[in-house]
Amino acid sequence: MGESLTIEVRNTQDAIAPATEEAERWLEAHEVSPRTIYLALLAIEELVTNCIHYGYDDTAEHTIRLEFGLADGALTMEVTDDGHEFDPVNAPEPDFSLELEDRPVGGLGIHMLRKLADEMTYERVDGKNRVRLVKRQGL
Amino acid sequence: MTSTSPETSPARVECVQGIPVVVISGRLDTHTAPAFDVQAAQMMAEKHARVLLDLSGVTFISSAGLRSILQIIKHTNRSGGRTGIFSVPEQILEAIEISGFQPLLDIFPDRETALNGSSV
Repeated sequence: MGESLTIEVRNTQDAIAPATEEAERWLEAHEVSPRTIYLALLAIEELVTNCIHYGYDDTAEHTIRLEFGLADGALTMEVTDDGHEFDPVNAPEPDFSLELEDRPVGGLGIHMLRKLADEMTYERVDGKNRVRLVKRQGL
Repeated sequence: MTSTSPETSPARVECVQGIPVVVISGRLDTHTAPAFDVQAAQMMAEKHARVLLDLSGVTFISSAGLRSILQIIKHTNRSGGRTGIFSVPEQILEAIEISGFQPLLDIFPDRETALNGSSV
């Protein structure tokens, strides 16, 4: 038996907060652990922001789909968008050896997701990017 | 639900023993970071070798929030000093650690230790 939630987010910065609030309410109602909630909210912000900034060349409205699933003691989250092909799983790691002034700001959000999630996978399906994150609840 | 009003200031700056102590509340993310950056820029109008960040009230930090903190780190670095943080909630500390920021900061358990560990 599993529970699921789907949220459609417009590709605009002000669409992130309402999506985050809705996800947080649902996760808290399902007694998901704070650590897992943190990952979910971070993923929404980092992946949607990335998509908004880099995903599209046009000014049209696009929809980013967030799907949450709870089953077998794990939260699964899938983020699907129809922007440019972008594989965050294989995106380069930020270079932590760089001198402070040279440290790039890109890639940090994706790096955080990689470290916090138990699994992170990517596939390009039907012209869409699909990122899947799994976080197992400590039981 | 869209908000067209400016975001409530996420931080206030106190001056303690000549050191700016930035008390940050709530979320430091893509939504609140711009307002925070404006406040931080006002603080950074003068040079500081030491800035302390009170993170006790921070509930969430994303890469956008970490970038805001990085600006303060660079600011104190330019004066040959360091930025310190104290009273960091566990989840926020984890975010700082996985982001590779730990070596860039002095991390204190509380305000008193942070102030004692700082010299003007």
